[in-house]
Amino acid sequence: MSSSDRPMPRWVVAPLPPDEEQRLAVLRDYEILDTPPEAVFDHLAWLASYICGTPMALVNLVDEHRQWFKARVGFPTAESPRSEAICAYAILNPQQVLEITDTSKDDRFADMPAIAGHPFVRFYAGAPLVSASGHAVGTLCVMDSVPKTLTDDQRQALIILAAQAVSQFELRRRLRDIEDQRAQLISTLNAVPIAIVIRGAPDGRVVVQNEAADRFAGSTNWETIRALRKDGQPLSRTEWPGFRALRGETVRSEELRLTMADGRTVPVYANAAPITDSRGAIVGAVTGFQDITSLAEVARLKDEFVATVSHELRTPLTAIKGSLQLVHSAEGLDAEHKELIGVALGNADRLVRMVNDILDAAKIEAGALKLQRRTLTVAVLAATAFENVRPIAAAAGVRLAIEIESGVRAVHVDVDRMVQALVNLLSNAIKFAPRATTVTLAARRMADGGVSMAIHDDGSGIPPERLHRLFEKFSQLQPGSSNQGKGTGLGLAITKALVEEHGGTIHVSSDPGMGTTFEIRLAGDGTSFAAAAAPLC
Amino acid sequence: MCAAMSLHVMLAEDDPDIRLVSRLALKRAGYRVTATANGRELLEKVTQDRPDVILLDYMMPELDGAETCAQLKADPATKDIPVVFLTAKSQGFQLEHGSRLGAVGYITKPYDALTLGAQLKEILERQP
Repeated sequence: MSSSDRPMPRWVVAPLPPDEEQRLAVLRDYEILDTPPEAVFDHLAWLASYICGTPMALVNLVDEHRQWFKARVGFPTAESPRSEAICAYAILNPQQVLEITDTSKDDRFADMPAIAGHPFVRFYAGAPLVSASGHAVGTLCVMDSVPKTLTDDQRQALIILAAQAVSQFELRRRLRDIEDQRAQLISTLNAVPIAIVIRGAPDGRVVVQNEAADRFAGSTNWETIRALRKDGQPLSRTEWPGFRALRGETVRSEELRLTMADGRTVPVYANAAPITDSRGAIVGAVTGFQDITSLAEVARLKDEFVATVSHELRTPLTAIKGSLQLVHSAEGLDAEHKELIGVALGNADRLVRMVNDILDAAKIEAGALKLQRRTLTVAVLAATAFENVRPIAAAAGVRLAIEIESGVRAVHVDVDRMVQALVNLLSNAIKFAPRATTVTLAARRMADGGVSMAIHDDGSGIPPERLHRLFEKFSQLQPGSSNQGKGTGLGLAITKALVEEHGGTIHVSSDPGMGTTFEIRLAGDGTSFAAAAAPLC
Repeated sequence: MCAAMSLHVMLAEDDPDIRLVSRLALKRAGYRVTATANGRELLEKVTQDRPDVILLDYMMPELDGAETCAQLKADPATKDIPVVFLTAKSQGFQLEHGSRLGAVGYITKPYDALTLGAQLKEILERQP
């Protein structure tokens, strides 16, 4: 380690600027070092050289240990050590142009290789390249082999050209950020298991489709797919969710079937929404198609499970109920045994009702209830329901009455299902009605042409705090009577669902002490009873 | 319970408990009952002791109700014996489905053991 071996530098190496670390970080972030020459920077260097009337000009970036030239005019090398650079001085003061009229007269530079040797730089002027964040990353500099001074205009032009070079760096960085964001968005879109298709306004051509959409379509051409409605009707192009979204509509969870070019059919939920620009104009539409094959499969398995379970329950129940009935009705049974068998029988009956109700509730929830509607008068509907409940009314000592207002329209309903709803309400009313009172079914015409059927009992009424929970599953009122009276807790929930399936509504009003009224309201089907009978007149 | 009518019913039911209950319920209603465990056994016995009516469980192993009914209807010797199905409601059994198979009616399980005989009689009396 002999310091005498190393020749002492015959010039003064520039100190590091106070922001050296941040300055280098900004420079790296520009990602411009060691990139090929580009016309835009060559042009800036040429303009600087021309305007300043110097044979040499550089777009120079000061790296950690070197200066590297993005563009050069009249200068022999592509880079040189930072320790031999005047530009290393120029970046010390980002606010100002460093101008050296005659380098040979300045001890800091006189012996630098490019000054003492080829290309013999005597004049130097460098405008710092200052980033948007205020750090000098290099210079735009001009040089001559003879001493010189710049005019004020030349100096100003050099500053403007330096600013232009920096704005190029900044723009590229912004562009890269945008491209990064785009790449991130695309990889996000591709990570989503939902087929996403973006259409552009106004013609609706596909501008983006993600990988899930490619997999769906079996190709990158989404337009080979055809869409069918749930009922199997094909969708015209303008009816596709994406095209409707282009017209401003938002489509939510619409069930469709997509048919691929290879003939596969996939059930999907389609969602679509318009894409608007910053001024609110619709520039496109995004559509998502979610494969619901597995959901449909789960629903099918659930239905199958419920059907199997209820069948499996029915078989032992048939044996239990039948045996109990035969023993209960046999002669020679003592009173206590007969009563106990009666209890078992009542509970077996209740289990049967529960199995039936659970199956109904499952059907309704699965949307598998198929209404077979026909038009009939309210009088026939009510009479059919009454036939069903006459035995339990007789047993409870309750009278039944029908009141039908004149002008009540016919209804368009699934007779079995509407009778089931009325029977549920009538059985409830009979259960809660005191002995020797009357349960009434009153039908009247509503102002909008619909039909109201109200079932009233003179029971003790329902406390107001219980009213709102009445239609929930397994929300039971205590009838306070025997097992025979106990329900399954599903009756009112099923009744409500049946009425709603018909497009109707159900209401309850009750005052403790004043009895309870359940009212079913059905929309008028447009056919009044009188009109239906008109051909006979 | 009119002993004079004493209709002969042949029953095919795979569940032994339900077979017993059905047999006793029908016997109490005044029927003469032959109980079999499945369609195959019923087809063997049906020609030996021709019944007035056949009560067939719809879901059975070996030979199910539909297939048994089809074979009965295909044989000139048995095609005129009325067939009634016993079915669990959950099978979505429809009257039309039963009559397509050649049955004259159906009774759903769980049935009412006290009126099983009466239900069967009602179905038979509905026939022209």
